[in-house]
Amino acid sequence: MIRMAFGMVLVGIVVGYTLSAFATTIISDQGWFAASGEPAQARNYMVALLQREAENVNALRPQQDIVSQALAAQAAQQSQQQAKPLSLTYLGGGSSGRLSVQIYAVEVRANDGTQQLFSLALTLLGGKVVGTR
Amino acid sequence: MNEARAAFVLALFVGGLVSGVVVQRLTDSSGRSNPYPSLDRVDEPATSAQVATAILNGDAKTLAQLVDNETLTNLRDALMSPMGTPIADIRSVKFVGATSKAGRVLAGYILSGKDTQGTDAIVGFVLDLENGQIVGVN
Repeated sequence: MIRMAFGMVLVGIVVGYTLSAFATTIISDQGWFAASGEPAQARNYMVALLQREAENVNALRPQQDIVSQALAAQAAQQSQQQAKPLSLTYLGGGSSGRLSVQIYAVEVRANDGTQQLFSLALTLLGGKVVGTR
Repeated sequence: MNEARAAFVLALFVGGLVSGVVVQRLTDSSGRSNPYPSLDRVDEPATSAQVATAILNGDAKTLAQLVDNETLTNLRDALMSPMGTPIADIRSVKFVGATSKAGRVLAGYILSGKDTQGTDAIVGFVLDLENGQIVGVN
């Protein structure tokens, strides 16, 4: 009896964990409810971008050819020498169908000591960043 | 006796199910936390609100008065759909948030509508203000 009770609880935990992980992935990839808050993919992309993690940035973009990946790595190295991120502020976003747009304000300090504040708008499709401006 | 046993087993399963969901939500590491500080949010600037209203109403005359030539050109580029076509039928322009630092304000907007090919489109644009005047757009 105890073994059966333990087994049922265990099966319940596994099923609940799996369903929750599946639902989280689907909701996130489809961009559902993205208008109500900051999607994890957008924040992950921004953090990876500011920390010059070229591999993580590439992982959040649609599959790219090897030359584009190399160019992105070079750009990350160059920006590392140019500016230090000071703040990252999520302004908000919206979605239409599977497309979602998320807007951030980024503050950096350049090598000459000047501070700059600029914005980045990310366009996401199916959990991938398909455009930045 | 059998019914009570069945109910007990079902309750154990449901309890495990709920526990599994809770554990997954607590251990979900798909989202990284923001390691940088965030700037304070500010209210929507009056000038950018007027620009947003002019865009929504298709009021080119007011838009021309509020925004200089170079910024208008940048605004036109910013309002291209992800497919690279202009958004011809604007249905909404929503203010999503603004922040400020050293006298500069960035005000973010989400515009949705249909592009010239009739496809639903959504774009984000940010108005850059200094001393209440629009000095740039992204």
